[in-house]
Amino acid sequence: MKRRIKERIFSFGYLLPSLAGVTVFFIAPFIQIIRYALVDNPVSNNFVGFENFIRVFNNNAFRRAAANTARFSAIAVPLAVALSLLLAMMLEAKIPGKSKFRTFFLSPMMVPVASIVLIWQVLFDYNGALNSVLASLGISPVDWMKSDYSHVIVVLLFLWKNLGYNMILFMAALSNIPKALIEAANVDGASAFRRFWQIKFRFLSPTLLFVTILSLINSFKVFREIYLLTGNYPHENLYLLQHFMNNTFGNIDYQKLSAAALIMALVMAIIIGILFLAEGRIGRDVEQ
Amino acid sequence: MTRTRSERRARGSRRRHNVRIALATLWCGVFAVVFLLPTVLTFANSFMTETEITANYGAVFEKNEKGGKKFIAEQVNLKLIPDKVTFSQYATTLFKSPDYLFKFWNSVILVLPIVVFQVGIAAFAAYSFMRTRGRVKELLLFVYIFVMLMPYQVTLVPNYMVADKLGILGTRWSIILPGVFAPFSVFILTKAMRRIPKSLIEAARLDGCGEWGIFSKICLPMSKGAIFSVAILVFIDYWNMVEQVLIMMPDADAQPLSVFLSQINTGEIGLAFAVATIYMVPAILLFLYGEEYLVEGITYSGGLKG
Amino acid sequence: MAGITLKEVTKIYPGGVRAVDGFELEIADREFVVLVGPSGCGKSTVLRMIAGLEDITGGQIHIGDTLVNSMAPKERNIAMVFQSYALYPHMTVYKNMAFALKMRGVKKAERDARVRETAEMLDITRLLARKPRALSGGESQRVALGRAMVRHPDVFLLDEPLSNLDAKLRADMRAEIVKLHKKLETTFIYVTHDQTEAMTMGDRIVIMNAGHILQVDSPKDIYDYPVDTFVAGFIGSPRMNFAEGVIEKDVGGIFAALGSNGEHRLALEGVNATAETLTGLVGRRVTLGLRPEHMRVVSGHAPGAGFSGGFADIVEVLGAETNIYADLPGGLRFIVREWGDEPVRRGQALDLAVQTEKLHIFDIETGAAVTGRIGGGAR
Repeated sequence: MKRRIKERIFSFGYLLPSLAGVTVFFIAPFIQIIRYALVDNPVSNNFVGFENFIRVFNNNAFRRAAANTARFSAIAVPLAVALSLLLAMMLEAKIPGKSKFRTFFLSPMMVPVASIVLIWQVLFDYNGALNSVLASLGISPVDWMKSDYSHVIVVLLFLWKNLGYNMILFMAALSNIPKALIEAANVDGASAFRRFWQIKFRFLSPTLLFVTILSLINSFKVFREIYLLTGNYPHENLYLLQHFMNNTFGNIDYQKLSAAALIMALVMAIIIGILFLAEGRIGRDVEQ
Repeated sequence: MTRTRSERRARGSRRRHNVRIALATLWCGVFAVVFLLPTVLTFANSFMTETEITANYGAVFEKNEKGGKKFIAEQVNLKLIPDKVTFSQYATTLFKSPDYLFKFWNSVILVLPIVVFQVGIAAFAAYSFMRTRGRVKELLLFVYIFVMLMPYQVTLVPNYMVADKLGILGTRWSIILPGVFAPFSVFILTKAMRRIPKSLIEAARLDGCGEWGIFSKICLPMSKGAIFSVAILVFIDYWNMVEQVLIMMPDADAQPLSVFLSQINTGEIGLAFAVATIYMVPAILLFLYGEEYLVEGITYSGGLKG
Repeated sequence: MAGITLKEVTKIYPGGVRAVDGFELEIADREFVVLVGPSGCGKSTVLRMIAGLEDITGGQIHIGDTLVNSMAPKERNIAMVFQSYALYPHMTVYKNMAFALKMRGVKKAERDARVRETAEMLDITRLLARKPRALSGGESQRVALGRAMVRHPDVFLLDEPLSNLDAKLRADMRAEIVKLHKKLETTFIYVTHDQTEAMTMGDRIVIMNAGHILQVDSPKDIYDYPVDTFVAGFIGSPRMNFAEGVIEKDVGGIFAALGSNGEHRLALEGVNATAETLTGLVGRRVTLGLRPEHMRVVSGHAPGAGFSGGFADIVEVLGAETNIYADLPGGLRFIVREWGDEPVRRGQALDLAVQTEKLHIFDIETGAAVTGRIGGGAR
């Protein structure tokens, strides 16, 4: 018994550096944020309940940012999941040069954001390549980044950047599906459609869940590219939560920031929770 | 004409199979071109003279200077092969404008400590998560995963406040320290180490290893692949960082090249391509020599359950 | 070199599962003891407690004269061979074998000498430079043994070491391990769920079920005098035949009536039980046990010496021997083992002659053996 306790203490020792850092830089300040979000200001410390949250909700900039972010994620995430699964299945179909293709699809990971942005400007600027092509076809040019299409452009950028990573995850999951099951289904005369939905889909469901969560998180990161493309105040369609946060940092309004961060954390937790429940239902029977 | 029906059907299905493979290859080819285009363009443009660049893209970038929004009938050319290959942009970057090299160095001294210490500290933590799995441990691991899943927008606020309290706001430490303790590596290495069969740990104990021996002689060497993998992923992530820098370290002098790259004058687009290419070199090298590890790392990152 | 004493050893897992309960055993120095039982019976837990890999909830374990309850595994000077072999995948065979010596601070020259000597003994010298993943199952097994041997431990613990090998290799390794035990003159404790391994390898067999010891005996005594129906059914292949019957007495003596209507009468003359014991059973229902090899296929037999009127339902020809599944009137079904290649054809009518002295009688409720060593009776 004594040995076991000693072992415990030792093993916590290995965790200590990391745990201390995570506590100082993430957990403690997160608790602090909860406090900030509930008081009027850090000095007088009067409890104000949900006032800060209401203030954030009533803020027009926040609502626009939240709506834009939600809309962007709602379009980009399903596309990212579906297309990367498609790519993975195409590569799994034993096409020639599989590993080369894999490298190509991963290559966007190594390109620095800023030079992507340069290229995107060349392609989608008012005077860019796309408009040049359209002009030669007799279609009048559009200022893509400043139009309602700006969303689409950024979605393309997002897909370009993230499909490769997701694809690798799906490829690993596909190769883990027991071959015997697929063969058994083949022998039983199941159609390709059935084989996919009844067998592959179920085995893929944990990865599907993970890729969805990952894409969701990455969809929040697309601010990076938008910021470099359009600066602090982009086209109103592209004003995302990160812009709101960034501009609020400038004003050092801790209460507003804290409340906004908490709202985001809560929404993330809820979405992830729902996805987990859904996955639990679909993948229940195939997990070890 | 003596072919039996089943033979004919088999031939048919084989042909269908071949058509499917051909179609899949074609589609992958199309995707590959689209995926490679920006990278290849960056690379190709970095060898063009400033004149050629201006001729090709002037329409895009010059009007930005004038602030005009008028559509210019002038053509934008996407050229993959320079008229005349020149290294002048590289020469400028490397010898005439020390600024770029300086920013490159900024990137290095920000990213290297993050990679080394995040992975190092994570290896210890992962070992701990592997060795004992009490209720407390599982709860802590859940907290790590929760923190990992939170978007920047959420974690940057606490990071900013701590940096402010510690008085490191505006210094490199405000970026390095949160990076060092980010839970991503812990999560992945825990998954990797938990795959080490229990009997190996027990064999090591019987062979005379203490905790340090099991960690350093068994678990670390056995997780070598995962450690490389995670290091590559962390490197790529931080090599391209933007948000943290903008918020924590608005002072341009210490900023890494990933941020500064976007601030190169529009009059020096050719230079921007050359700098971008140079900046890509470490990542490209990792791709060339560590793609298997990269793929393994991505695979490890899949799935939230140990 | 040391014996092992286990006193009242108990293991209760968090959550209250009693994996091992009041385990008492003395193992002599240089003995080869086999712990055998169905999976989950606690045999591996006992082994792991001796190794120090599991905490002991209650009781004491001595290795030699030392109480080892609170000693770390490395202080116990024991070596273990795992079912999965547990070879370090990142080290060569040489390094795997030398690792424990290195951790113990053995000098390099001596390390080298001992590794090479052991490798020579096991005929694995040519594998020394390889990594474990380049080894076949049999080779891994030898390396795992070698790794344990290099250390010159006081006790060898082997946890189902042959389970991952194919049948032929398993038979070879059985003999090899027994030979090794003779050569090394060290205590071996061997855990298996395979009764063949237990019977062929051990000096003594410890049969366990549900955390308890059922019987400790030499292989022959376990086979001849199982203490209850569990042991009787566990040891021996094909399994012992069981049938319910009533003990009765008439002018001819004491006999057992079997079958749904008492169709078969088996005289109990020569049974391994005293006259008093048998008389005491008259009028009671019992479980009768007969091993397949203790019956013969015949046509006709003396009254009370067997079963009549059956036919061969299934005939399994194994080459040297044949297993016959005989259906008999009254709902009895026995497996009989005959030597030779297909002595009976499927569907053929047959009678069975019984070697009465090999008959086992068990209490129908407790399953405890009534028959046993004459004189001593059941233990």
